[in-house]
Amino acid sequence: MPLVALTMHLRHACAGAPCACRTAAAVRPRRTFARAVTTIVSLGALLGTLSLDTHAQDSDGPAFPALTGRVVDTANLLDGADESALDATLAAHEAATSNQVVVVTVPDLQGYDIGDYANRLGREWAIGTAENDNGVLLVVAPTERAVRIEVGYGLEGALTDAISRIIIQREILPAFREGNYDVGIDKGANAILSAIEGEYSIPPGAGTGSTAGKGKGVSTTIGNLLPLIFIAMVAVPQVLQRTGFGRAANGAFPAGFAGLMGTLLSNSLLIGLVAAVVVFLFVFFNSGKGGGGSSGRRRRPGIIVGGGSLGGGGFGGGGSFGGGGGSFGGGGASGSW
Amino acid sequence: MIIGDTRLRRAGGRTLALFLGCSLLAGCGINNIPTYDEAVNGRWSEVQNQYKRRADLVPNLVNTVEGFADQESDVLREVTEARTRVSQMNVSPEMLTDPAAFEQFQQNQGMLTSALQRLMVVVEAYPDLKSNENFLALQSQLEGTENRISVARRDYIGAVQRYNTELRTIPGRWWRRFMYPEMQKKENFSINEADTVNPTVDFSN
Repeated sequence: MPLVALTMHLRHACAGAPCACRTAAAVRPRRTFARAVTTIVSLGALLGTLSLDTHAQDSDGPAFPALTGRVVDTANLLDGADESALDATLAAHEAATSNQVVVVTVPDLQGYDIGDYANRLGREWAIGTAENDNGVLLVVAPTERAVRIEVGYGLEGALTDAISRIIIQREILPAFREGNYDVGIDKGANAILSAIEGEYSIPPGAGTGSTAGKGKGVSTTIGNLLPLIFIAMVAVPQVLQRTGFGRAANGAFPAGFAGLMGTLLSNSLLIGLVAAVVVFLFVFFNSGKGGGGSSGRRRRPGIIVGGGSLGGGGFGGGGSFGGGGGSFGGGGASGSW
Repeated sequence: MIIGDTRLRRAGGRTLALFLGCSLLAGCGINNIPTYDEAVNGRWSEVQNQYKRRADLVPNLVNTVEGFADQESDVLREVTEARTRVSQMNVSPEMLTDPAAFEQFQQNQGMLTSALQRLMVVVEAYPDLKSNENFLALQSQLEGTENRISVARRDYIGAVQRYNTELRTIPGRWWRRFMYPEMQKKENFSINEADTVNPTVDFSN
């Protein structure tokens, strides 16, 4: 606005009244700022939503069983004792070498070729460590009478296609043909372990390779939304204040921060949301007694939550087995009986 | 320095707006097109890798079969010729935006696949060959490579779909017009090699 008009306004109208005009004059740039911020927020929200990756990473695949442990026996071929013994053997191997070997039995391949199914499953569960891709999957489908050893990228040199095939033909299938699934699976698993024995080892001082899988999903989403969250935490209190919800404004930033921290620590959006609501209500009802509803001057929150992606990597779930982030390229061999 | 000072606040406000603008840009997909393009190139290299691996197996395979079944010269010649054709193809990244070249590539690889399948059928009649250790090792390598080819193709298809979709949807279209006008839609596999049956040998003890 023209400087002359402003000073005249100040001199004449503000002669007696204290501070009112100065406040009014100072409010105008703040209103413009608030409007600018709201425009940026809405534009940002629009572009951000449009660019969110809504389609799935891989095209539709079969429904996979859950990764409940190193032996996932959904086709019930093994009894409890066999299962725990095998699990212990595989766990011991992983502790010594960081290789993850998982045995899966499935009642139904859902129309997929066992090679396709096993490869997708290995990637879904992310067996093997992310740096070494040292995972092996032994998949048995008794209904389709098919078995496959799916080998991760990192073990293809030790457990070659030829060796996988020999293991299937000599160790696994003879027992399967007689209906002794437990014997066949056991011999196959042990043969696999011998083949990959010397490949990798745990560096001294490190723990076992398995971190909790599936932590990636929430972290990456939060990472992508971080710019928007930051804007919400800073701009929303400002906007709320201008429109008269002073008490609400006080609660908005702490609520946003609590929500963010809650989601990160618990790895669940729901808990984050609950935390945000709780903190907001707390501040709201407490500020009612003290601060009052006037739009006084507010210090801008000093905490800057940086933009950018937080990246993948799950949060540890102590004690349980999870994939380490490894991938599979289609190596290995199949067999049928 | 008083935070309440108007000029400082205005300057702070502008800095804040600038920071918001930058983080918004980072968050709203301006880098998607080059990122997806690189992913497509990476997956394509992997596809090439696996096809080459298969082509490299052929000479050894032909030699081993010849040792037992040299009267099957027709099939063996067919395989060798298909392999030569594949190796002579000029493969470059430009092929991905050229429908004719891409189609030719698919056809050549498809011919090698059919020739190998025919070879495996022919081999059935020679029990000595079928039980030869050398041949079995080669045979499992071939099966493994065919499987890896399917996986690499699947990954490539996913990457190309993502890239092409980004070019066609908003806000990708806008970014492309302003910043990446030279980017084009890339070709996808039309001949479904996964439908071809992998050569298998029934080795019952």
